[in-house]
Amino acid sequence: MTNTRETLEKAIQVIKIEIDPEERNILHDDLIQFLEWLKPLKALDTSGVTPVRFSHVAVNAFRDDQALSCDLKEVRKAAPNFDEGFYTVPPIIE
Amino acid sequence: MNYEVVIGLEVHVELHTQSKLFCACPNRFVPEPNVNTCPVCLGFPGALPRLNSEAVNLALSASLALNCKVASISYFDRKNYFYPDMPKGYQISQFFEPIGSNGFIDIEDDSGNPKRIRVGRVHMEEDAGKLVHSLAGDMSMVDYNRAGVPLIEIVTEPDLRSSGEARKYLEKLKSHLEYVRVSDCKMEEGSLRCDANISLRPKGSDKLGSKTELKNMNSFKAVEKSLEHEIKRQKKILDAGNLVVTQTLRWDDNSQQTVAMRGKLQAHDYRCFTDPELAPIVLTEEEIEKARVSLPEMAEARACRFVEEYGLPDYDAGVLTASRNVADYFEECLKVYNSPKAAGNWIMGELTAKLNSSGQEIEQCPFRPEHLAELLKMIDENVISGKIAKDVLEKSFESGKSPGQVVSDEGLLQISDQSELETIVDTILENNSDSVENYRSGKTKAIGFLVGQVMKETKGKANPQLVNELLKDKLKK
Amino acid sequence: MNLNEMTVVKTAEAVNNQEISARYLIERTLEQIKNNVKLNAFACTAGAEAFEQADAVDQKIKSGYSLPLAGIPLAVGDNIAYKELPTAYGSAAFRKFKPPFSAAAVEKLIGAGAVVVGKINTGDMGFSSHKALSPAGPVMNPWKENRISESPGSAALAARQCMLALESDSEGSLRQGASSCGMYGFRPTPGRVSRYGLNLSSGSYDQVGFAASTATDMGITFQATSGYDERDILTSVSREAGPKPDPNKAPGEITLAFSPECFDQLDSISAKHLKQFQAKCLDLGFKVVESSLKLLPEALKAFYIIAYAEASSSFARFDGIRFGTAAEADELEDLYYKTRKLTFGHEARRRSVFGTYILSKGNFEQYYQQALKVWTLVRQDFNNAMANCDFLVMPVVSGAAPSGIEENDFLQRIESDIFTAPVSMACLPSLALPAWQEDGLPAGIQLVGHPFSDEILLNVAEMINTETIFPDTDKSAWEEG
Repeated sequence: MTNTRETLEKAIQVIKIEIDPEERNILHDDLIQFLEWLKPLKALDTSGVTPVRFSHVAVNAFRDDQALSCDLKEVRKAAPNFDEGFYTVPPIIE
Repeated sequence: MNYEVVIGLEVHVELHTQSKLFCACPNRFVPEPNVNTCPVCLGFPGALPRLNSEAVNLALSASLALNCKVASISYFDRKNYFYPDMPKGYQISQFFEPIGSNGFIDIEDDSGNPKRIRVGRVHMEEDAGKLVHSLAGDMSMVDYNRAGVPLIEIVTEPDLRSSGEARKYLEKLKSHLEYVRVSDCKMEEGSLRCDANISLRPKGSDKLGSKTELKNMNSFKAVEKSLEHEIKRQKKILDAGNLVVTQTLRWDDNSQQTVAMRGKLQAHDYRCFTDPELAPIVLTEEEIEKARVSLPEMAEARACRFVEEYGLPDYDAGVLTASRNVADYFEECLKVYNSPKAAGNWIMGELTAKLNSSGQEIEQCPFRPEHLAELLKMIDENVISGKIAKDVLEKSFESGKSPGQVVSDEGLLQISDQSELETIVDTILENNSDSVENYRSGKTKAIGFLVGQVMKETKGKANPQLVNELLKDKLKK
Repeated sequence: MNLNEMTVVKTAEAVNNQEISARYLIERTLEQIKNNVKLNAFACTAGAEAFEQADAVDQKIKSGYSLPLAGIPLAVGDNIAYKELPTAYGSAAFRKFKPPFSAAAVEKLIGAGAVVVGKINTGDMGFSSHKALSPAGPVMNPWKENRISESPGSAALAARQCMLALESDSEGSLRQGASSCGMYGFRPTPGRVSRYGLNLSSGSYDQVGFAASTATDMGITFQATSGYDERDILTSVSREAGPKPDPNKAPGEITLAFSPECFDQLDSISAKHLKQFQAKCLDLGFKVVESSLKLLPEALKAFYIIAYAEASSSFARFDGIRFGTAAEADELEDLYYKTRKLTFGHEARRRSVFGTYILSKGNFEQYYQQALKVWTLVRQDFNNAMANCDFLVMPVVSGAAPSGIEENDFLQRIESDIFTAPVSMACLPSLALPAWQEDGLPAGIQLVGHPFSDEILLNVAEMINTETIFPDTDKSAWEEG
């Protein structure tokens, strides 16, 4: 297996999405193309350039420390599995 | 072989705020699950994080109290991993640019010499929710009440060399954080949590051995014990010529040993990057300086001052300043009562005992500093005896009434009226001719018994000095 | 009264003057949506809720109020929360999902009198630029058979299925779709309009924007929605409104810049039209200069690295625990894998996987960190280009509206964002406005302003004053009145 393929397979595992073999192949081919397309960017000389951290110009955008309870009726309706106040998931062994 | 122990601690502390780090949900414990939640801390699509200004203030105070350099620009990053207690699939944390770095705490090592423990970083992050496993084992349940609660993580350099040092560091850290009112630091309740990295190396080597991580230690004692246990365990492995396996261990309080954790074993690639939904925190030199200046006097400095200013013994000063609330109580009392030694004794003795037995905190108990002052004044002015004072404290503590009120309600005023006492003394002498005989035949100790009888008769209210005088006087005759 | 080609301004005026009722407008609009259902522009349409809202508007007007958007039929992107209707986020797993809150911009538009007539069909997890990728199929372009619209709101608008659309814009789908439908599409300066309620894939680049049929309509829509919103703390930069346009300013006092590199990136027909548009600007009296944009290809690459990386993280929240549909699973890992397969289409899966790849150990520095540095260079590039002008005039796309039917490769689709994604990256406000027609299909240009110049930008667009032309779709629902 190539290095790219290996990292791609690992990425699929990390991001936890079921993807069938055929689509994996498509993704692999696309990724090869994409990385090829990115080559000029990798080659660009950026020594001494400070990276941008934020698209916006806001700083110290704070909220006052005031507690407020939320009406949870609609929020809880959104849960696929909710039981006696808890969100439930398949059993986890710790 | 002789080994050197190398320990680094990672401490998570819940910040004492009204609301969560990025939403307005209340930051307080409630037994009912998923009550303190909202679309933001549940990670709903379209809900945006909003940084709590007080959390930043507290993290700043903590950084300064731990002698850290404060970053003029810091920001939040996403630490990506899946777990049901992590609503967004990432934890918002300060990975690249923590608010505080390069600090220290001074402790004493095991031989009592001063030692500096370096604090590598102090950073803000959000807490995760809690998983509960059903008894039937058919499902796990998630409670997000704690998800999004503001934390600071305080990470030491691997400077600690024994379990004792670790404990001293934690005690100092707790005191510092309490003093700046950043957190209540209750380990048993989870508001202070400690993980340890520990390894052994041959003495004199500067290479670190392979380490293990210890989790789930829920008291200072447990930290000390589990570290000791782990030191012994690693020593055994190394002595047998084997290698310590890098792993995460959990302290089991019941069996009093460390157990390997099954989950969360694989090394994560957290893929950290800066969270684009939040703004950077920018602090000017002036703002940092202002925060530094407004830090309270810390425990050590306060203890020194107590010795100098109030003439307290070192030991008393140490005890009274261990907690800021106790020290505040003490000084509050001194504002209206001018005998530091007596006030200190009563706080360290009777009051602490009462607080312990009732499970209350000094700052919340109904027996206020001015009550203590009033009580001590009554003793000094012979209004009540020291013995009665203990009962008064008890009653005042329970009812919230002032000591004066308790004394008058219960009729506990000291009897200092000479004629009233004379009558009682006469009756006692009459009824205890044996003791009178004994005294007169030289067994002067018998007077103690007689005083006791008078006190019994007066339910402790008799002025003991006066009783003594009267008895001596009458026994001479 | 023929409302067929009426603007928001005139329609709201008619409703405010009680010449027509909001209820009537909504009836006609819903009929019009039904008559043109083949465009596939709507994921769902409103019923009773819309009439309730319309009646409330009529009632308010009867009691003496005047509302800037009185009765205006509004279409809302399906990746923007609206609690009265299902909000599917462009995901099969959310078809029946009703969010517990509405987006700030939706609330503001309703507050100004607009009535939501439906949720518009959004691409896979909101990635509408990537064309034909909606779980509900592509949105067709009302101008021509077998052509799609990258902005379903603009398609609905051109087909008079609404008078205003609220959508998101990241790599430029809103501007591109507006362009290929002959409409106006506006991406405001970040922080001017609250993003609360928009399912953010890329926090750096996703913005809430609008499609409207004139610059004036866009102006009142922007006015009704911009400003500080405590739920989107980044709008704190909007505590003060942007600089107000000077109504007396003549075109001669405004400098427009065209970039030679943009011409180089265009096909010959589009380049010819852009040249003609440049001449038109001169005719109108604007000062026209040249400004170089040297880093468009690099900007596009860096944009996608960052957008993919952020998407992989932002969409980790779709785990089937707190909202959405959970797959049947006996084990936790199964719950994740199956639920996320159910939730994401191919494009969302690609972005999640590629984003994870980019952020992985060993790749982070060479791709992600490098992209952040290139971002700095891109900002400088745009700063330099804008140093001697008030606005940049840029193409929106090269060539005509894309066909959604033929399978073109994903790199080609990315490449079509070469004019729009870099502008998003530069964090500048940008308006797509209709500029020419070729072979029966409209095309627009982008007017790109300095940060926070949104109001002035919309004002200058009015001065350019291109006529809005509507396609020849079935408009019988409107003509009955």
